[in-house]
Amino acid sequence: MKFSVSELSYLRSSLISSPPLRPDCRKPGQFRPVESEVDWLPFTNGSARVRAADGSECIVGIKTKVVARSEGSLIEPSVDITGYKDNDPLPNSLAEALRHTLNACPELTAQLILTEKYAFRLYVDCVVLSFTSHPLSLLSLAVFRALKSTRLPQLISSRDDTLVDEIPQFNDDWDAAQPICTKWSPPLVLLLAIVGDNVLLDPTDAELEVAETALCITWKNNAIAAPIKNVDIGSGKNVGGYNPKVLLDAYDLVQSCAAQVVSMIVS
Amino acid sequence: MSSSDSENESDVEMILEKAGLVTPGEMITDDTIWMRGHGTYAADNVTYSAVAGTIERVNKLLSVRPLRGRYIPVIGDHVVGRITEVGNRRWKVDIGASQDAVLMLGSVNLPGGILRRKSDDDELQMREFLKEGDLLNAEIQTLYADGAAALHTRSLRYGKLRNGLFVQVPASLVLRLRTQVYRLEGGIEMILGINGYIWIRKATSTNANAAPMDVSINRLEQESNSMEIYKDENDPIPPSTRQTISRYANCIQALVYNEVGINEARLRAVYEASVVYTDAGELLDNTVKTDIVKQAMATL
Repeated sequence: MKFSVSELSYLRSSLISSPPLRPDCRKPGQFRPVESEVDWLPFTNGSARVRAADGSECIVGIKTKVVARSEGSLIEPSVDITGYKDNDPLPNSLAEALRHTLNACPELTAQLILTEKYAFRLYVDCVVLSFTSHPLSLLSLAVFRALKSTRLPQLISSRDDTLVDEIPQFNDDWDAAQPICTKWSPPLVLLLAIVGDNVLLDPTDAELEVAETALCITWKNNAIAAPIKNVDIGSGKNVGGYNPKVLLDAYDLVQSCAAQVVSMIVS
Repeated sequence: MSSSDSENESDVEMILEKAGLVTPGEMITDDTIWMRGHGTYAADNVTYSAVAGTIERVNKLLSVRPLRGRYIPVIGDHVVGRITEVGNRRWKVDIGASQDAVLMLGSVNLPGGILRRKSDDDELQMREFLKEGDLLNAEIQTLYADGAAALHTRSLRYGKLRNGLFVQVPASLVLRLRTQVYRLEGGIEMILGINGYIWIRKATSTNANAAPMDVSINRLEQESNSMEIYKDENDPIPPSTRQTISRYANCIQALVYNEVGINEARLRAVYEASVVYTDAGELLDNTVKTDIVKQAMATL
Protein backbone atom coordinates (compact mmCIF):
# COMPACT_ATOMS: atom_id res chain seq x y z
CA MET A 1 0.00 0.00 0.00
CA LYS A 2 1.15 3.49 -0.69
CA PHE A 3 1.13 6.12 2.00
CA SER A 4 0.78 9.85 1.68
CA VAL A 5 3.68 12.16 2.47
CA SER A 6 1.96 13.63 5.51
CA GLU A 7 1.05 10.18 6.87
CA LEU A 8 4.67 9.08 6.63
CA SER A 9 6.02 12.20 8.25
CA TYR A 10 3.45 11.90 11.05
CA LEU A 11 4.50 8.29 11.62
CA ARG A 12 8.20 8.97 11.47
CA SER A 13 8.08 11.90 13.85
CA SER A 14 5.96 9.84 16.28
CA LEU A 15 8.32 6.88 16.15
CA ILE A 16 11.61 8.76 16.50
CA SER A 17 10.41 10.69 19.53
CA SER A 18 11.55 9.44 22.93
CA PRO A 19 9.81 7.30 24.06
CA PRO A 20 8.49 6.20 20.66
CA LEU A 21 4.75 6.68 20.11
CA ARG A 22 3.52 3.79 18.02
CA PRO A 23 0.33 4.30 16.02
CA ASP A 24 -1.45 1.59 18.01
CA CYS A 25 -0.03 2.71 21.39
CA ARG A 26 2.07 -0.40 21.80
CA LYS A 27 5.20 -0.33 23.93
CA PRO A 28 8.43 -0.88 21.97
CA GLY A 29 8.63 -4.50 23.11
CA GLN A 30 4.95 -5.35 22.85
CA PHE A 31 3.94 -8.04 20.39
CA ARG A 32 0.54 -7.87 18.71
CA PRO A 33 -1.80 -10.53 20.07
CA VAL A 34 -1.85 -13.78 18.10
CA GLU A 35 -3.88 -16.91 18.49
CA SER A 36 -2.68 -20.35 17.50
CA GLU A 37 -3.66 -23.96 17.43
CA VAL A 38 -1.54 -27.07 16.92
CA ASP A 39 -1.91 -30.61 15.66
CA TRP A 40 -4.83 -29.88 13.43
CA LEU A 41 -3.51 -31.12 10.06
CA PRO A 42 -3.99 -34.86 9.57
CA PHE A 43 -1.11 -36.89 8.07
CA THR A 44 1.56 -34.57 9.43
CA ASN A 45 4.03 -35.17 12.22
CA GLY A 46 3.30 -31.75 13.61
CA SER A 47 1.33 -28.72 12.49
CA ALA A 48 0.34 -25.28 13.62
CA ARG A 49 -1.84 -22.41 12.56
CA VAL A 50 -1.16 -18.90 13.76
CA ARG A 51 -3.48 -15.98 13.26
CA ALA A 52 -2.91 -12.33 14.13
CA ALA A 53 -5.56 -9.79 14.97
CA ASP A 54 -5.15 -7.99 11.65
CA GLY A 55 -6.15 -11.13 9.74
CA SER A 56 -2.62 -12.30 8.91
CA GLU A 57 -2.55 -16.05 8.93
CA CYS A 58 0.08 -18.71 8.52
CA ILE A 59 -0.11 -22.49 8.55
CA VAL A 60 2.79 -24.93 8.91
CA GLY A 61 2.85 -28.68 8.45
CA ILE A 62 5.90 -30.77 9.27
CA LYS A 63 6.44 -34.15 7.60
CA THR A 64 9.36 -36.52 7.75
CA LYS A 65 10.98 -39.09 5.56
CA VAL A 66 13.84 -41.50 6.26
CA VAL A 67 16.83 -40.75 4.05
CA ALA A 68 20.45 -41.81 3.87
CA ARG A 69 22.54 -39.34 5.85
CA SER A 70 24.79 -38.77 2.88
CA GLU A 71 21.89 -37.23 0.97
CA GLY A 72 22.44 -33.69 2.15
CA SER A 73 20.52 -31.35 4.40
CA LEU A 74 18.16 -32.89 6.93
CA ILE A 75 15.91 -29.86 7.16
CA GLU A 76 13.98 -28.69 4.12
CA PRO A 77 11.85 -25.62 4.72
CA SER A 78 9.61 -24.30 1.96
CA VAL A 79 7.45 -21.20 2.01
CA ASP A 80 4.43 -20.47 -0.11
CA ILE A 81 2.69 -17.14 -0.03
CA THR A 82 -0.79 -16.87 -1.49
CA GLY A 83 -0.66 -14.72 -4.58
CA TYR A 84 3.13 -14.89 -5.01
CA LYS A 85 4.92 -16.81 -7.71
CA ASP A 86 7.37 -19.56 -6.77
CA ASN A 87 10.31 -17.54 -8.04
CA ASP A 88 9.38 -14.40 -6.14
CA PRO A 89 12.19 -13.19 -3.86
CA LEU A 90 10.00 -12.88 -0.74
CA PRO A 91 8.99 -16.54 -0.22
CA ASN A 92 12.48 -17.64 -1.21
CA SER A 93 14.20 -15.30 1.21
CA LEU A 94 11.84 -16.40 3.99
CA ALA A 95 12.57 -20.06 3.26
CA GLU A 96 16.28 -19.27 3.26
CA ALA A 97 15.97 -17.48 6.60
CA LEU A 98 14.18 -20.49 8.08
CA ARG A 99 16.75 -22.92 6.66
CA HIS A 100 19.52 -20.84 8.15
CA THR A 101 17.87 -20.66 11.55
CA LEU A 102 16.88 -24.31 11.79
CA ASN A 103 20.23 -25.58 10.56
CA ALA A 104 21.96 -23.45 13.18
CA CYS A 105 20.18 -25.56 15.78
CA PRO A 106 22.30 -28.62 16.66
CA GLU A 107 19.64 -29.98 19.08
CA LEU A 108 17.22 -30.37 16.21
CA THR A 109 19.67 -32.16 13.95
CA ALA A 110 20.64 -34.48 16.82
CA GLN A 111 17.01 -35.52 17.20
CA LEU A 112 16.76 -36.39 13.51
CA ILE A 113 19.66 -38.80 13.34
CA LEU A 114 18.55 -42.45 13.49
CA THR A 115 21.56 -44.59 12.82
CA GLU A 116 25.02 -44.22 11.39
CA LYS A 117 23.56 -44.38 7.89
CA TYR A 118 20.00 -43.14 8.17
CA ALA A 119 18.26 -40.06 9.43
CA PHE A 120 14.93 -38.33 9.27
CA ARG A 121 14.59 -35.50 6.86
CA LEU A 122 12.22 -32.82 8.11
CA TYR A 123 10.02 -31.08 5.56
CA VAL A 124 8.79 -27.83 7.04
CA ASP A 125 6.04 -26.65 4.69
CA CYS A 126 4.72 -23.19 5.39
CA VAL A 127 1.86 -21.35 3.76
CA VAL A 128 1.27 -17.67 4.43
CA LEU A 129 -2.42 -17.24 3.69
CA SER A 130 -2.47 -13.49 4.16
CA PHE A 131 -0.30 -10.88 5.73
CA THR A 132 -0.26 -7.13 6.18
CA SER A 133 3.18 -6.63 7.74
CA HIS A 134 6.43 -8.50 7.06
CA PRO A 135 5.53 -12.19 7.53
CA LEU A 136 8.85 -13.33 9.05
CA SER A 137 7.80 -13.09 12.72
CA LEU A 138 4.44 -14.75 12.16
CA LEU A 139 6.02 -17.50 10.10
CA SER A 140 8.62 -18.15 12.75
CA LEU A 141 5.91 -18.30 15.45
CA ALA A 142 4.05 -20.90 13.40
CA VAL A 143 7.19 -22.98 12.85
CA PHE A 144 7.99 -22.72 16.54
CA ARG A 145 4.53 -24.01 17.47
CA ALA A 146 4.64 -26.75 14.85
CA LEU A 147 8.07 -28.01 15.96
CA LYS A 148 6.85 -28.07 19.55
CA SER A 149 4.03 -30.37 18.49
CA THR A 150 6.10 -32.55 16.17
CA ARG A 151 6.48 -36.22 17.05
CA LEU A 152 8.65 -38.81 15.33
CA PRO A 153 7.86 -42.53 15.16
CA GLN A 154 9.74 -44.69 17.64
CA LEU A 155 12.68 -46.64 16.24
CA ILE A 156 12.56 -50.34 17.15
CA SER A 157 15.54 -51.62 15.18
CA SER A 158 19.11 -51.18 16.31
CA ARG A 159 20.67 -47.72 16.36
CA ASP A 160 24.04 -49.09 15.39
CA ASP A 161 24.28 -50.24 11.79
CA THR A 162 27.97 -49.79 11.15
CA LEU A 163 28.59 -53.52 10.86
CA VAL A 164 25.29 -54.90 9.57
CA ASP A 165 23.22 -53.23 6.89
CA GLU A 166 19.83 -52.72 8.37
CA ILE A 167 16.85 -50.68 7.24
CA PRO A 168 15.33 -48.80 10.18
CA GLN A 169 12.13 -50.31 11.58
CA PHE A 170 9.52 -48.26 13.44
CA ASN A 171 6.86 -48.91 16.01
CA ASP A 172 3.38 -48.97 14.43
CA ASP A 173 1.85 -47.38 17.47
CA TRP A 174 1.60 -43.62 16.95
CA ASP A 175 1.08 -43.17 20.69
CA ALA A 176 4.64 -44.35 21.20
CA ALA A 177 5.99 -41.59 18.98
CA GLN A 178 8.54 -39.33 20.61
CA PRO A 179 8.18 -35.53 20.72
CA ILE A 180 11.04 -33.85 18.93
CA CYS A 181 11.38 -31.05 21.47
CA THR A 182 12.28 -32.69 24.72
CA LYS A 183 14.60 -30.57 26.79
CA TRP A 184 15.12 -27.77 24.33
CA SER A 185 13.07 -25.10 22.71
CA PRO A 186 13.01 -24.45 18.97
CA PRO A 187 14.36 -21.13 17.65
CA LEU A 188 12.08 -18.16 17.32
CA VAL A 189 12.95 -15.33 14.93
CA LEU A 190 11.85 -11.90 16.06
CA LEU A 191 11.66 -8.99 13.67
CA LEU A 192 12.62 -5.55 14.94
CA ALA A 193 12.45 -2.24 13.16
CA ILE A 194 15.02 0.46 13.74
CA VAL A 195 13.60 3.96 13.55
CA GLY A 196 16.01 6.71 14.52
CA ASP A 197 17.47 5.60 17.84
CA ASN A 198 14.46 3.47 18.71
CA VAL A 199 13.94 -0.26 18.33
CA LEU A 200 10.43 -1.61 17.84
CA LEU A 201 9.39 -5.24 18.16
CA ASP A 202 6.91 -6.70 15.68
CA PRO A 203 6.67 -3.66 13.38
CA THR A 204 3.56 -3.09 11.29
CA ASP A 205 3.65 -2.41 7.59
CA ALA A 206 3.45 1.35 8.15
CA GLU A 207 6.20 1.28 10.78
CA LEU A 208 8.55 -0.58 8.44
CA GLU A 209 7.81 1.99 5.76
CA VAL A 210 9.48 4.72 7.81
CA ALA A 211 12.19 2.53 9.36
CA GLU A 212 15.91 2.74 8.56
CA THR A 213 16.18 -0.99 8.51
CA ALA A 214 14.89 -4.12 10.16
CA LEU A 215 16.78 -6.69 12.20
CA CYS A 216 15.97 -10.26 12.89
CA ILE A 217 17.16 -11.70 16.16
CA THR A 218 16.88 -15.38 17.03
CA TRP A 219 15.72 -16.47 20.46
CA LYS A 220 16.48 -20.00 21.51
CA ASN A 221 16.54 -21.80 24.88
CA ASN A 222 15.91 -18.52 26.70
CA ALA A 223 18.87 -16.78 25.14
CA ILE A 224 19.74 -14.82 22.05
CA ALA A 225 21.29 -17.05 19.42
CA ALA A 226 22.59 -16.92 15.88
CA PRO A 227 21.61 -15.81 13.31
CA ILE A 228 21.21 -12.11 13.90
CA LYS A 229 21.03 -10.11 10.72
CA ASN A 230 19.56 -7.28 8.75
CA VAL A 231 16.38 -7.88 6.81
CA ASP A 232 15.72 -6.26 3.48
CA ILE A 233 12.53 -4.27 3.89
CA GLY A 234 12.50 -3.01 0.36
CA SER A 235 10.82 0.26 -0.28
CA GLY A 236 11.42 2.45 2.78
CA LYS A 237 12.50 6.01 2.11
CA ASN A 238 14.72 6.34 5.15
CA VAL A 239 16.81 3.25 4.46
CA GLY A 240 20.32 3.91 5.65
CA GLY A 241 22.83 3.43 8.38
CA TYR A 242 22.06 3.36 12.07
CA ASN A 243 23.82 4.02 15.28
CA PRO A 244 25.62 0.82 16.44
CA LYS A 245 24.42 1.59 19.97
CA VAL A 246 20.94 0.67 18.71
CA LEU A 247 22.10 -2.92 18.31
CA LEU A 248 22.71 -3.15 22.04
CA ASP A 249 19.25 -1.69 22.67
CA ALA A 250 17.80 -4.31 20.35
CA TYR A 251 19.62 -6.99 22.32
CA ASP A 252 18.25 -5.69 25.61
CA LEU A 253 14.75 -5.38 24.21
CA VAL A 254 14.71 -8.97 22.97
CA GLN A 255 16.17 -10.20 26.23
CA SER A 256 13.42 -8.50 28.20
CA CYS A 257 10.48 -9.32 25.92
CA ALA A 258 11.13 -12.62 24.15
CA ALA A 259 10.06 -14.77 27.09
CA GLN A 260 6.73 -12.93 27.12
CA VAL A 261 6.24 -13.58 23.40
CA VAL A 262 6.94 -17.28 23.92
CA SER A 263 4.48 -17.54 26.79
CA MET A 264 1.87 -15.63 24.78
CA ILE A 265 1.90 -18.05 21.86
CA VAL A 266 2.13 -21.19 23.95
CA SER A 267 -0.86 -20.27 26.12
CA MET B 1 -56.06 -12.07 -8.39
CA SER B 2 -56.28 -9.85 -5.39
CA SER B 3 -56.68 -12.74 -3.02
CA SER B 4 -53.65 -14.58 -4.40
CA ASP B 5 -51.73 -11.32 -4.24
CA SER B 6 -52.28 -10.93 -0.56
CA GLU B 7 -51.42 -14.56 -0.05
CA ASN B 8 -48.10 -14.12 -1.78
CA GLU B 9 -47.37 -11.01 0.16
CA SER B 10 -47.92 -12.85 3.36
CA ASP B 11 -45.50 -15.47 2.06
CA VAL B 12 -42.68 -12.96 1.81
CA GLU B 13 -43.83 -11.23 4.94
CA MET B 14 -43.30 -14.55 6.62
CA ILE B 15 -39.72 -14.74 5.39
CA LEU B 16 -39.12 -11.20 6.51
CA GLU B 17 -40.45 -12.01 9.93
CA LYS B 18 -38.88 -15.43 10.23
CA ALA B 19 -35.35 -14.20 10.40
CA GLY B 20 -34.92 -11.16 8.23
CA LEU B 21 -31.60 -12.77 7.35
CA VAL B 22 -30.96 -14.94 4.31
CA THR B 23 -27.88 -16.82 3.17
CA PRO B 24 -26.58 -17.28 -0.38
CA GLY B 25 -28.69 -19.84 -2.23
CA GLU B 26 -31.61 -19.59 0.16
CA MET B 27 -35.01 -19.44 -1.57
CA ILE B 28 -36.78 -16.15 -1.05
CA THR B 29 -39.96 -16.82 -3.00
CA ASP B 30 -41.21 -19.00 -5.86
CA ASP B 31 -43.83 -16.51 -6.91
CA THR B 32 -43.26 -14.61 -10.16
CA ILE B 33 -45.10 -11.44 -9.19
CA TRP B 34 -42.04 -10.16 -7.34
CA MET B 35 -39.41 -8.16 -9.14
CA ARG B 36 -35.86 -9.25 -8.43
CA GLY B 37 -33.50 -6.56 -7.24
CA HIS B 38 -29.86 -6.42 -6.13
CA GLY B 39 -28.49 -9.42 -4.30
CA THR B 40 -30.92 -11.92 -5.82
CA TYR B 41 -30.88 -14.33 -8.70
CA ALA B 42 -33.45 -16.54 -10.38
CA ALA B 43 -33.46 -20.13 -11.51
CA ASP B 44 -36.63 -21.72 -12.88
CA ASN B 45 -38.64 -18.68 -11.86
CA VAL B 46 -37.68 -19.13 -8.24
CA THR B 47 -35.96 -16.20 -6.57
CA TYR B 48 -32.88 -16.97 -4.46
CA SER B 49 -30.61 -14.79 -2.41
CA ALA B 50 -27.15 -14.25 -3.88
CA VAL B 51 -25.59 -12.80 -0.73
CA ALA B 52 -25.82 -13.11 3.03
CA GLY B 53 -27.93 -10.25 4.26
CA THR B 54 -31.34 -8.86 5.01
CA ILE B 55 -34.31 -8.80 2.64
CA GLU B 56 -35.61 -5.39 1.71
CA ARG B 57 -38.93 -4.78 0.05
CA VAL B 58 -40.10 -1.76 -1.88
CA ASN B 59 -43.59 -2.42 -3.25
CA LYS B 60 -43.00 -5.38 -5.55
CA LEU B 61 -39.22 -5.14 -5.64
CA LEU B 62 -37.28 -7.57 -3.49
CA SER B 63 -33.61 -7.04 -2.86
CA VAL B 64 -31.08 -8.37 -0.39
CA ARG B 65 -28.77 -5.93 1.33
CA PRO B 66 -25.43 -7.68 2.04
CA LEU B 67 -24.08 -7.70 5.59
CA ARG B 68 -20.49 -7.37 4.45
CA GLY B 69 -18.92 -6.49 1.18
CA ARG B 70 -17.40 -3.63 -0.67
CA TYR B 71 -18.69 -0.14 -0.23
CA ILE B 72 -21.43 0.78 -2.68
CA PRO B 73 -21.23 4.49 -3.55
CA VAL B 74 -24.32 6.66 -3.16
CA ILE B 75 -24.58 10.25 -4.40
CA GLY B 76 -23.90 12.73 -1.62
CA ASP B 77 -21.84 10.37 0.54
CA HIS B 78 -18.90 11.93 2.36
CA VAL B 79 -15.98 9.58 1.74
CA VAL B 80 -12.26 9.43 2.41
CA GLY B 81 -10.12 8.17 -0.46
CA ARG B 82 -6.56 7.59 -1.55
CA ILE B 83 -5.19 8.64 -4.93
CA THR B 84 -4.07 5.62 -6.94
CA GLU B 85 -3.38 7.15 -10.32
CA VAL B 86 -2.88 10.54 -11.92
CA GLY B 87 -4.28 10.56 -15.41
CA ASN B 88 -5.55 12.75 -18.19
CA ARG B 89 -7.29 15.66 -16.42
CA ARG B 90 -8.47 13.28 -13.72
CA TRP B 91 -7.32 11.39 -10.67
CA LYS B 92 -8.29 7.83 -9.85
CA VAL B 93 -9.22 7.47 -6.20
CA ASP B 94 -9.46 4.29 -4.14
CA ILE B 95 -12.59 4.59 -2.01
CA GLY B 96 -12.94 0.90 -1.17
CA ALA B 97 -15.65 0.36 -3.78
CA SER B 98 -15.49 -2.27 -6.49
CA GLN B 99 -14.01 0.29 -8.87
CA ASP B 100 -11.79 3.31 -8.30
CA ALA B 101 -13.67 6.60 -8.25
CA VAL B 102 -12.81 9.43 -10.61
CA LEU B 103 -11.92 12.92 -9.49
CA MET B 104 -11.92 15.31 -12.45
CA LEU B 105 -9.50 18.20 -12.51
CA GLY B 106 -12.57 20.39 -12.91
CA SER B 107 -14.08 19.11 -9.67
CA VAL B 108 -11.40 20.36 -7.30
CA ASN B 109 -10.64 23.75 -5.86
CA LEU B 110 -7.43 25.06 -7.26
CA PRO B 111 -5.24 27.77 -5.77
CA GLY B 112 -6.44 31.19 -6.76
CA GLY B 113 -10.13 30.92 -6.16
CA ILE B 114 -12.96 28.57 -6.72
CA LEU B 115 -14.43 29.93 -9.92
CA ARG B 116 -11.44 29.76 -12.18
CA ARG B 117 -11.09 28.00 -15.49
CA LYS B 118 -8.66 25.09 -15.45
CA SER B 119 -5.76 25.84 -17.74
CA ASP B 120 -3.18 23.61 -19.41
CA ASP B 121 -0.74 24.71 -16.71
CA ASP B 122 -2.99 23.24 -14.10
CA GLU B 123 -3.08 20.00 -16.02
CA LEU B 124 0.70 19.85 -16.13
CA GLN B 125 1.08 20.35 -12.40
CA MET B 126 -1.66 17.98 -11.29
CA ARG B 127 0.87 16.02 -9.20
CA GLU B 128 1.62 19.16 -7.22
CA PHE B 129 -1.97 19.21 -6.02
CA LEU B 130 -2.60 15.52 -5.47
CA LYS B 131 -0.22 12.65 -6.12
CA GLU B 132 -0.35 8.88 -5.74
CA GLY B 133 -0.87 7.86 -2.12
CA ASP B 134 -2.38 11.16 -1.01
CA LEU B 135 -5.47 10.98 1.13
CA LEU B 136 -8.43 13.28 0.62
CA ASN B 137 -12.01 13.60 1.69
CA ALA B 138 -14.64 14.26 -0.95
CA GLU B 139 -18.28 13.98 -1.77
CA ILE B 140 -19.74 11.61 -4.33
CA GLN B 141 -21.06 13.81 -7.11
CA THR B 142 -22.45 11.38 -9.67
CA LEU B 143 -22.55 7.70 -10.40
CA TYR B 144 -21.79 6.24 -13.80
CA ALA B 145 -23.89 3.51 -15.35
CA ASP B 146 -21.33 0.85 -14.37
CA GLY B 147 -21.48 1.83 -10.70
CA ALA B 148 -18.24 3.82 -10.64
CA ALA B 149 -18.37 7.11 -8.76
CA ALA B 150 -17.26 10.61 -9.64
CA LEU B 151 -16.09 12.74 -6.72
CA HIS B 152 -15.85 16.44 -6.09
CA THR B 153 -13.98 18.49 -3.52
CA ARG B 154 -15.61 21.80 -4.37
CA SER B 155 -15.99 22.98 -0.83
CA LEU B 156 -13.47 23.94 1.78
CA ARG B 157 -14.81 21.03 3.81
CA TYR B 158 -13.14 18.68 1.36
CA GLY B 159 -9.58 18.30 0.16
CA LYS B 160 -6.23 16.85 1.03
CA LEU B 161 -5.82 15.37 4.52
CA ARG B 162 -2.87 15.85 6.86
CA ASN B 163 -1.98 16.07 10.58
CA GLY B 164 -3.27 12.66 11.43
CA LEU B 165 -3.67 8.94 11.20
CA PHE B 166 -5.58 6.74 8.77
CA VAL B 167 -7.74 3.85 9.98
CA GLN B 168 -9.65 1.45 7.79
CA VAL B 169 -12.75 -0.46 8.88
CA PRO B 170 -15.43 -2.44 7.02
CA ALA B 171 -17.80 0.01 5.33
CA SER B 172 -20.83 -1.86 6.67
CA LEU B 173 -19.88 -0.83 10.21
CA VAL B 174 -20.08 2.90 9.53
CA LEU B 175 -23.49 4.32 10.32
CA ARG B 176 -24.94 6.96 8.00
CA LEU B 177 -25.57 10.19 9.85
CA ARG B 178 -26.25 13.82 9.11
CA THR B 179 -22.63 14.75 9.39
CA GLN B 180 -19.48 12.65 9.14
CA VAL B 181 -17.03 15.11 10.72
CA TYR B 182 -16.76 15.12 14.47
CA ARG B 183 -14.83 17.11 17.00
CA LEU B 184 -13.82 14.80 19.81
CA GLU B 185 -12.38 15.30 23.27
CA GLY B 186 -8.69 16.04 23.48
CA GLY B 187 -8.48 18.40 20.49
CA ILE B 188 -9.15 15.67 17.96
CA GLU B 189 -11.20 15.74 14.84
CA MET B 190 -12.43 12.67 13.03
CA ILE B 191 -13.66 12.28 9.49
CA LEU B 192 -15.72 9.12 9.39
CA GLY B 193 -15.90 8.29 5.69
CA ILE B 194 -19.03 6.30 4.86
CA ASN B 195 -16.78 3.97 2.87
CA GLY B 196 -15.08 2.85 6.08
CA TYR B 197 -11.96 4.95 5.63
CA ILE B 198 -11.41 7.08 8.69
CA TRP B 199 -9.09 10.00 9.24
CA ILE B 200 -8.27 11.06 12.80
CA ARG B 201 -6.37 14.30 13.08
CA LYS B 202 -5.43 17.11 15.33
CA ALA B 203 -8.14 19.74 15.30
CA THR B 204 -6.90 23.15 14.29
CA SER B 205 -8.71 26.42 14.25
CA THR B 206 -8.05 26.79 10.54
CA ASN B 207 -9.59 23.43 9.65
CA ALA B 208 -12.50 24.49 7.52
CA ASN B 209 -14.18 21.20 8.32
CA ALA B 210 -14.71 22.31 11.87
CA ALA B 211 -16.99 25.15 10.85
CA PRO B 212 -18.88 24.35 7.68
CA MET B 213 -20.93 27.52 8.13
CA ASP B 214 -17.94 29.69 7.38
CA VAL B 215 -17.43 28.27 3.93
CA SER B 216 -18.55 31.37 2.07
CA ILE B 217 -16.61 33.73 4.30
CA ASN B 218 -13.45 31.71 3.86
CA ARG B 219 -13.29 32.37 0.19
CA LEU B 220 -11.01 35.37 0.56
CA GLU B 221 -8.84 33.57 3.06
CA GLN B 222 -8.50 30.70 0.67
CA GLU B 223 -7.34 32.92 -2.15
CA SER B 224 -4.64 34.39 0.04
CA ASN B 225 -3.56 30.92 1.17
CA SER B 226 -3.20 29.62 -2.40
CA MET B 227 -1.18 26.39 -2.22
CA GLU B 228 -1.94 26.01 1.50
CA ILE B 229 -4.74 23.51 0.93
CA TYR B 230 -2.44 21.14 -0.92
CA LYS B 231 0.41 21.32 1.61
CA ASP B 232 2.14 18.05 2.60
CA GLU B 233 3.88 19.17 5.80
CA ASN B 234 2.16 18.52 9.09
CA ASP B 235 1.70 21.18 11.73
CA PRO B 236 3.59 20.55 14.96
CA ILE B 237 1.61 17.94 16.89
CA PRO B 238 2.38 17.46 20.60
CA PRO B 239 2.97 13.90 21.88
CA SER B 240 -0.16 14.00 24.03
CA THR B 241 -2.30 14.67 20.96
CA ARG B 242 -0.59 11.84 19.09
CA GLN B 243 -1.37 9.51 21.98
CA THR B 244 -5.01 10.56 21.98
CA ILE B 245 -5.24 10.00 18.23
CA SER B 246 -3.83 6.49 18.67
CA ARG B 247 -6.20 5.78 21.54
CA TYR B 248 -9.16 6.74 19.37
CA ALA B 249 -7.81 4.47 16.63
CA ASN B 250 -7.67 1.60 19.12
CA CYS B 251 -11.22 2.38 20.29
CA ILE B 252 -12.41 2.17 16.69
CA GLN B 253 -10.71 -1.21 16.34
CA ALA B 254 -12.43 -2.36 19.54
CA LEU B 255 -15.83 -1.47 18.05
CA VAL B 256 -14.89 -3.28 14.83
CA TYR B 257 -13.78 -6.37 16.74
CA ASN B 258 -17.18 -6.53 18.41
CA GLU B 259 -19.01 -5.85 15.13
CA VAL B 260 -20.62 -2.75 16.56
CA GLY B 261 -21.57 0.02 14.13
CA ILE B 262 -19.47 3.15 14.56
CA ASN B 263 -20.93 6.55 15.30
CA GLU B 264 -19.90 9.55 17.32
CA ALA B 265 -21.79 8.72 20.51
CA ARG B 266 -20.46 5.16 20.65
CA LEU B 267 -16.92 6.23 19.97
CA ARG B 268 -17.09 8.83 22.73
CA ALA B 269 -18.50 6.22 25.11
CA VAL B 270 -15.83 3.65 24.24
CA TYR B 271 -13.16 6.30 24.67
CA GLU B 272 -14.50 7.14 28.14
CA ALA B 273 -14.53 3.45 29.02
CA SER B 274 -10.99 3.03 27.73
CA VAL B 275 -9.57 5.73 30.00
CA VAL B 276 -9.44 3.14 32.81
CA TYR B 277 -6.53 1.61 30.92
CA THR B 278 -3.85 4.25 31.27
CA ASP B 279 -1.66 2.31 28.87
CA ALA B 280 -3.62 2.40 25.61
CA GLY B 281 -1.51 -0.51 24.34
CA GLU B 282 -3.64 -2.79 26.51
CA LEU B 283 -6.61 -2.00 24.28
CA LEU B 284 -5.19 -4.41 21.69
CA ASP B 285 -6.15 -7.35 23.85
CA ASN B 286 -9.36 -9.01 22.67
CA THR B 287 -10.91 -9.41 26.12
CA VAL B 288 -10.23 -5.75 26.86
CA LYS B 289 -11.82 -4.79 23.53
CA THR B 290 -14.99 -6.69 24.41
CA ASP B 291 -15.03 -5.29 27.94
CA ILE B 292 -14.83 -1.64 27.04
CA VAL B 293 -17.38 -1.95 24.25
CA LYS B 294 -19.81 -3.71 26.60
CA GLN B 295 -19.33 -1.02 29.21
CA ALA B 296 -19.76 1.72 26.64
CA MET B 297 -22.91 0.24 25.13
CA ALA B 298 -24.42 -0.05 28.61
CA THR B 299 -24.11 3.69 29.12
CA LEU B 300 -25.89 4.58 25.87
